[in-house]
Amino acid sequence: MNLSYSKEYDDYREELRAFLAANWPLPDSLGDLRERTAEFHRRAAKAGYIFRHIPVKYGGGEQQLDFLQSEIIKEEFRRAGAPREPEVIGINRVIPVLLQWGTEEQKDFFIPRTMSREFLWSQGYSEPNAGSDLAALRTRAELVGDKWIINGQKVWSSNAYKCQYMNALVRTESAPRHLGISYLLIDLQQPGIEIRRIKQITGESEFCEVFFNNAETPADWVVGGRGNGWAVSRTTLRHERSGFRSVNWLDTILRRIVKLARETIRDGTPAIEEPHLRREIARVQARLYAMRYSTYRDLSMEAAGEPSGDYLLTQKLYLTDTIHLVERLTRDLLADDYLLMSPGEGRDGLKGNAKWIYNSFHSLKIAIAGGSSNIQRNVVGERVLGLPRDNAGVGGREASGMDQ
Amino acid sequence: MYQEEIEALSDSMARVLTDECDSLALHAYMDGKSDLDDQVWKRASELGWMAAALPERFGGMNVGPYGLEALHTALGRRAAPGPFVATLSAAQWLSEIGPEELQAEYLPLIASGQLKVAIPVAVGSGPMLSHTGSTLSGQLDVLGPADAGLIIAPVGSGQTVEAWGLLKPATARVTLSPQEIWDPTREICTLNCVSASMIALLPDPDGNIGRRLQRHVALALAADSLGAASNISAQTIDYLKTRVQFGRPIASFQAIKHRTVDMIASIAMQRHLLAQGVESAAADSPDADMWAALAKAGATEAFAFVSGDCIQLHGGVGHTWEFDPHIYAKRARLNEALAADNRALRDFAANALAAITRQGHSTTELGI
Ligand SMILES: Cc1cc2nc3c(=O)[nH]c(=O)nc-3n(C[C@H](O)[C@H](O)[C@H](O)COP(=O)(O)OP(=O)(O)OC[C@H]3O[C@@H](n4cnc5c(N)ncnc54)[C@H](O)[C@@H]3O)c2cc1C
Repeated sequence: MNLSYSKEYDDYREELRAFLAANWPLPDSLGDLRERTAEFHRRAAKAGYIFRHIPVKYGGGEQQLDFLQSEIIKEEFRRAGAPREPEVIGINRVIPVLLQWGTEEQKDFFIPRTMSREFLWSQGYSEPNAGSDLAALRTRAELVGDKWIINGQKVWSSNAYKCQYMNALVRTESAPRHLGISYLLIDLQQPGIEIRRIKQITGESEFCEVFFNNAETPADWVVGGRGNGWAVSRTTLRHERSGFRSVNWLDTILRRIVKLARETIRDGTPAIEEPHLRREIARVQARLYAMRYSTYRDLSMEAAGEPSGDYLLTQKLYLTDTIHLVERLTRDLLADDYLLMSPGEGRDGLKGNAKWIYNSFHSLKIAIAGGSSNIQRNVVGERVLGLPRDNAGVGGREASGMDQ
Repeated sequence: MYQEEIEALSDSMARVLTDECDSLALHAYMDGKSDLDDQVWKRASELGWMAAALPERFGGMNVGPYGLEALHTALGRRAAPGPFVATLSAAQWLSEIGPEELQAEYLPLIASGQLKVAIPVAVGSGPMLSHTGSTLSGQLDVLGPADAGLIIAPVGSGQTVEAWGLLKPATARVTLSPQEIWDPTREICTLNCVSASMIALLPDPDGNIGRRLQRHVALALAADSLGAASNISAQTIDYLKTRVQFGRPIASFQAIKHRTVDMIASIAMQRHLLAQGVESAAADSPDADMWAALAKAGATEAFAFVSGDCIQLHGGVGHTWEFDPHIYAKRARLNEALAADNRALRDFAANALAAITRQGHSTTELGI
């Protein structure tokens, strides 16, 4: 693994700078910020700077896996203040699933519209009695003529109230547990579906209950075939950005922490001069580097056809611990200020330090959302270490990432 | 001493709060549908809880720090809303250090529930009021409600507290503006003084008065934290016994059993530390401030750990407003941050320990 930039990459950077200089910001005549951003993303995809893992025929950049290019893109986009590739569940989750399992019609219809964010997605896996034990899910779909008729209930579906579509796991076969499940795409905006928002501990209401009462979806909106939903839902997203999403996000948080520590004056000196805080910041930084380089190695080995080991399976556990360290660090840093933050109505209404407190409560979700840490430990124990199986391992909801 | 009175008091408090400040009542309060804080305050006053710790001559039962421990533990269990920590700590403090005439004027008012008190959120450090002629000016955050009738605030210049000022928010020169905070069960206000006249100024040349206030606030927060932690962990354990995944109650998984035991163990250890703190405060022994500081740091941290883990152990429902764990997690984080930073308290305790050993006492003699 060679991580230094050669001449080839310096040239790549020059080209990218020229592209950015010519295309961002775009003139106001091209519409409002949303429209300008969409247009910029179209151009950037065409030039191969974003959506690099998506084929050109669906509107992607279609590039070879290349971390150095990917790093350069990240750096230069940041420098230019250009809008990065959007981070939404449809792009992170649904597109990779469709690329691997979808029919041509499904890909043609859904991928371009998901990329442009015309279609937003909510993930419908969990149910009241099927959380960690996801294979126990009971929402059913029956094929009647050319339609699936769906009945049942999902819960914790993030953002469902503002999404057009749901990628859902539903029971379609009489086979037991995970063998009877299919992966269906469902239009949420129809009379057979009722969505209720659930108030969260942060005061916002982003996750939802979704009730299906004879809801419908076309027969050919099943992805990967009947009864194959379990395998489809476990599609791992292996492209150069997938593993770095959380690392990059942590990187941003850490930069802000350092800035906050410089600006916070305690007993007449900047907080960043306190040995305790410096140590903790360094600890988080070290973990971040560890995650970044493990991801490079892991993906490079896989690209070279070598077995990449167990990094991906343990990453979420390590990440969860790191986020808890960050949370602790912010509490130490804010000290008394920690008390005084307005709860507001979620992140949008918050200013200044209040955002930190929001993050701090929000960070509690990381060990649960997207598959709990305990279940992940079972998976690692059994699959990586070959420990004796516990029945509770089978059909457990494996962590597939943290982008909910 | 007073063992029976304290047990009777504890029982009555637990009974009343279980009935009147249950989870439903708490949620209604948080959603702005009840004035539970006023109701609990009123009941506490009627039943003599506010007076319990005070000397008999002020209408109290003289059960001192032991009684306060019982009271704050009971209030913490139910995450009861209301300005109890500030008011009761201030009352105990005043009963120990106050000039006779201030005690005679204010303690009976507190004992009967007619007076709420605000104290600084940071007792040993943080902003102070400045003193010019016979007036005070400045701004700081206080723990207590906007309708507090008495405010206690540090007065000084630079980094040193020189005295403690007592103020009444009667005029436009002394205002309390409520702040919005995460913990819905407490109130914090910003105190603003503009050449305000004061009720009294208590000089504190060697810091003893301030440390004594910190001692009582620290013990109150520790007791509140342990009562709260043991209740939310018990509630969570009940939930784990009924929540079924993989065809069995999740409490039957060893990973879950171990975590519940870790929670209980962290609470149990802190109970002993608090008991030590209460005993030394009641005896007013020279190491009382040290034990109180250690108890506050340990108990609030244990509470933050336990309540955070209760959210995780609940899974998705733990992240909802409707369930109880978040109420406790928010109270825990406030408790951690109040009075003084836990690291500062431990530094303080370490210095106190060093001083005691320098005087030729061995550490095993501590607390005897
Ligand atoms: C903020 C947030 C957003 C979410 N968004 C979505 C979404 O968009 N779509 C979606 O489908 N789901 C979503 N979820 C749901 C999430 O995937 C589930 O909450 C999670 O899988 C846990 O399931 P549960 O809530 O039923 O908890 P439970 O399964 O009841 O677990 C409770 C506790 O028991 C532990 N546990 C369970 N089984 C075992 C075992 N065998 N051994 C040891 N410990 C065990 C768990 O680790 C957990 O701590 C979201 C959750 C959160 C918190």
